[in-house]
Amino acid sequence: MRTKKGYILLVFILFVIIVFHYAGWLNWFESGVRSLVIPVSKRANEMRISLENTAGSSTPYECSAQLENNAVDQAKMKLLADENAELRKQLNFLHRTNYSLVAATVVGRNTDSIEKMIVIDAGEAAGIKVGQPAIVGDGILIGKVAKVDKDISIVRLLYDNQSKIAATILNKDGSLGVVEGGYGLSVRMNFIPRDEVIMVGDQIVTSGLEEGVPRGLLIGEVAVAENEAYQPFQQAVLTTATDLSKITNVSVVISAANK
Amino acid sequence: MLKWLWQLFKFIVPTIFVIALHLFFINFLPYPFNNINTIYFAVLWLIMISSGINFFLLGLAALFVSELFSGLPFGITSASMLISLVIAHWFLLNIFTNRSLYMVFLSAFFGLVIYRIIFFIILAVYNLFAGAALWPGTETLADIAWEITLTPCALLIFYLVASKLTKRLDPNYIALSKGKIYG
Repeated sequence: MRTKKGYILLVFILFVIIVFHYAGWLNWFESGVRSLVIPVSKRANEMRISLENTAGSSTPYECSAQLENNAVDQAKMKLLADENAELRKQLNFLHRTNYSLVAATVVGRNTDSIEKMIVIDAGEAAGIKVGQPAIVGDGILIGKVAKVDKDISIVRLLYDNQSKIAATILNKDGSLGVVEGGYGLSVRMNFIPRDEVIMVGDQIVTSGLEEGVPRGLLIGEVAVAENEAYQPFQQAVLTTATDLSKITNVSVVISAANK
Repeated sequence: MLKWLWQLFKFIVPTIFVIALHLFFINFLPYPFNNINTIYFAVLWLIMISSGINFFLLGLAALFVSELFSGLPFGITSASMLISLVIAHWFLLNIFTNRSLYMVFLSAFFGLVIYRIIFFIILAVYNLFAGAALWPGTETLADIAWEITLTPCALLIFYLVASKLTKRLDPNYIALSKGKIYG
């Protein structure tokens, strides 16, 4: 009987939390919790990328502690150099185009294993809205904003199951299609007309047919073209232009119009 | 006052620990081990070693923090996991009562299956109105298969090790002593 009452109490607490969340009455508390978790999550994300970068060049276990320390320093230096180069590219992109960008740092990955998303430390307060594209480097698309809160946003990466981007291939036909995720670490471009010629290595960019996503953001290039006789459209398997698991800084295109 | 603070401490510290563990698993473990559901693991472990439902509150707190960094609509994960944990708890009290290794594995396995079924039903209803794809892709299903396989395995190994260290979790000891620690 006591347990049954406990179950009812739990469901009631959950119900209250959900109602209070959607009513916005928990915003102050949620911001507080986020501000406590974000530094830890950000540090964990940096360490993960640093470890992945050094994994390929790890030294044998016999090496001295001095060499290990040097390797750690080198990894840190490389991370900083990469960040610097990345920010320079984003700055160049900003100067070259008329887009309004919001720069943000990746503070972690999303907490559910079924999604392929990243959390960035800029939100509604910075002008970010759902559906805006997130880029790295010199205009490389990594995904679109899926959820926005006051101080953070969640970006759905290209290879997420629910990701869909209107795209065009830079071939002689200018083939249009939709770039979709849900195929592991690769992405596919579907709905390409069968009579158009696509070649391995052709670059794919955003088509600009989607609201808020400007034309010309690089997505990747064709790795495999599949044109089956029994299919109404042909498909292309793409390799993305950047490694989506090692992103540290992004820019969100908040306006593609003239500044 | 001190008692109240101690209760708060006993609640907050394990919650922080579970969240830290969750962040560690997601960020540092290689695929497919990063699919181990740490929150489910921790809460199920706690309700296995204690019959009380206080640990559900810990799970709720960890899930609340987790939802703040999730792209899914708020409440879907918490609701589905809480319902599945309540079902698992009921099973542990009434059906899977002997705490053998098989029962530990089965309760975690069935609990996770129920969790993901409820999760996808709620998500499909949401997606129906949001105009998104109703069902997950094959890649997502593979991730879930890993989660449902690896989390009970991790719990099994943890339980096995713990039962060697403490008699409280040793099914043989429980059977011999006829000690009643559950229910």
